[in-house]
Amino acid sequence: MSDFLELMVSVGETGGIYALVALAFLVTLRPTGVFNFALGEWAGFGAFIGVVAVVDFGLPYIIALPFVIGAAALLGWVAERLTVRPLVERDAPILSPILALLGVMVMTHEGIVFFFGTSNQFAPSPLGGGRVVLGPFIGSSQGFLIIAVTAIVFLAAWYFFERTIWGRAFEAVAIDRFAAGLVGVNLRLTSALAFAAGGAVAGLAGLLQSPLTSASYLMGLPLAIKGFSALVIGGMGRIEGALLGGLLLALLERLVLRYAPIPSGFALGVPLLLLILFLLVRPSGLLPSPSGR
Amino acid sequence: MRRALVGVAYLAAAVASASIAAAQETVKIGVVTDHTGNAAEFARIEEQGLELALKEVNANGGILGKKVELLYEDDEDKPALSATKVRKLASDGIPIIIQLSSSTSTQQAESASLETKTPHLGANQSADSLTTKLDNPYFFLAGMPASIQFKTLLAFTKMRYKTAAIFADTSAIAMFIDKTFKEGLEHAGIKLVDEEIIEAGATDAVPQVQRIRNANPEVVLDAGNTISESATFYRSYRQLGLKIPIIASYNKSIPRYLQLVPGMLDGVAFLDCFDQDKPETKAYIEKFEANYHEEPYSLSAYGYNAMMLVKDAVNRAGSLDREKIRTALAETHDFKSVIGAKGTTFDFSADHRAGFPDQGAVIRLIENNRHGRAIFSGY
Repeated sequence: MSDFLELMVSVGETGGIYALVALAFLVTLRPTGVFNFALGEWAGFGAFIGVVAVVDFGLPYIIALPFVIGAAALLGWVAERLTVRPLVERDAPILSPILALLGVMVMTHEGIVFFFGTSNQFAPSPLGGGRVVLGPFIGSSQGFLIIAVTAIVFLAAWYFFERTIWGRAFEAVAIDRFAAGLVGVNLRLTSALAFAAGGAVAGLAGLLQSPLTSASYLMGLPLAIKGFSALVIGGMGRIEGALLGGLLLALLERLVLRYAPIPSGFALGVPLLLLILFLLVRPSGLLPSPSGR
Repeated sequence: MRRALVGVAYLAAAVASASIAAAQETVKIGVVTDHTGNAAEFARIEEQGLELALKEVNANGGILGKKVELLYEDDEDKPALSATKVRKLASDGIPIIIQLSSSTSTQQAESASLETKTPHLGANQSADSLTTKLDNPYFFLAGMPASIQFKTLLAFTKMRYKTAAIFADTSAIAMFIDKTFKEGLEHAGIKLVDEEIIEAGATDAVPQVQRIRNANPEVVLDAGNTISESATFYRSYRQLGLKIPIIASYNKSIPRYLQLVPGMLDGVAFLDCFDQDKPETKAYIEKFEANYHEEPYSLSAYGYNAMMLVKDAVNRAGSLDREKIRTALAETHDFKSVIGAKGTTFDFSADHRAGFPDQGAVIRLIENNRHGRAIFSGY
């Protein structure tokens, strides 16, 4: 039983990171219809900015946190302004901004290598790196922090989309961009905010993961793959879907790695195999969009 | 006619480069290194040792009575570029080249040193194939060959344990180490009770560590190679409170781990080339600390060792003629190096171009987040 509870902390921690990246995909995708695969690299960017703020400048974590989120949001805003908006305003096909963002992904990756190098950087945990025992649950302090922050972020995101006028505006654009524009929703601002919010959430995910793995120029791509997989599993229409998808993907991974009677080298591919099977059965994900979009 | 012209051009170039080498005021040594690629972190540390040796050599009269100068070329640890850089240095008339990038890049660069007949010394690489795959009499390896590393590591394991588990990641080098460990364990009669792989980008290794705990081996062999995944493994290992001893490959001699997972590698026995009890190594540590005001890691000693091997060979050759330097390098005998276990020396010959001593690898302990004492050597 204690094995299983240890594993559940691991599911919460890993699933939390996947869910945050899935949320970053979702908040960008819903109002713009654009898949932003640069988000994984933006998470890496957040991790390195965190190292600069906390290690190089010695800032307290609580001050570094808004700094990192702000820098990643700014990156999202600039990327939207320079690559997505010009293409959308010229009525380019939907694949064009996606392709442009793949370019942004490569540029972000190369920028990380150029400015921070290829060496892994130590990223301290705000609560220390110790082992924490909470009743029957054993994990790292960073693991429990990730679980708590993920819960707060998802509650805030849910409140924003369900209870605020700006959130409703986002949803209106997601349902019918043209009609939303007609009733006065500022489409340009909505799009820019969506990219900035996506960048901010991705940067936060990278910042939270870095004390577990260190900040690495290679951390972006796996995060993008796992976050996107979580989004597809959970469904692309609802905030809860991103959380559910992240946790479910992490649970599948952990259960297969721990209990499947096959070597772990083979077990690594099993969750993605299950994902393909899942999509064949339920292509819209677990929680489809309420609008049906 | 065209062939004849090309021949004359080659001859002229050869004469010109020979006369440049003879006339130069300083002895120029080429260094193909990695400043921007995957091996840059290691090369940077190795260059510290190289520069320290350069300073020492120049303070003691240089080579052949002339000051020594290092000409660096960044190969970005890209094999094709590595060969290009060796060709460039060779065409500039450089009498000998030291290489600090990875085995893969060095393997490719060998084609250029063979083609240009330029003595070429691999300072730190570990692939045995570097001296066997290509019959290149101009290439010599000063790094610690993987075959010697594994023999020592398995001899140490066999003396103490009867069951083992292996941890690895999905990189090609980790898979190679993993495979070699498995073959070695079987050969040594040690039972492999579990094998765990951690994927790229994993946020923790809790399921894998739980399985190791469940298999209850007497020792865990660490075949990990990528830094992020190894750091993740050690975090999970300590988080779950496992006390099973760990023996690690040469990868854990990389000092970066001590910064990334501070204190979490304490007690790990790892393979290294550095024996602090060896008189030459002790003297090197003192010189390094006096110069850089920090403790040296074994990686830096590879650079120092390469420079000293070059100095020894060129002085014995008595000239900057490439053929004479190659012959002198091949006749290196009983060279007292700062790397290798106490009592061992470097020896090259025309048939044995890997000079690291057979009994030179050591097992060291990580203690108080530092690379500590050597507890075993040879096999």
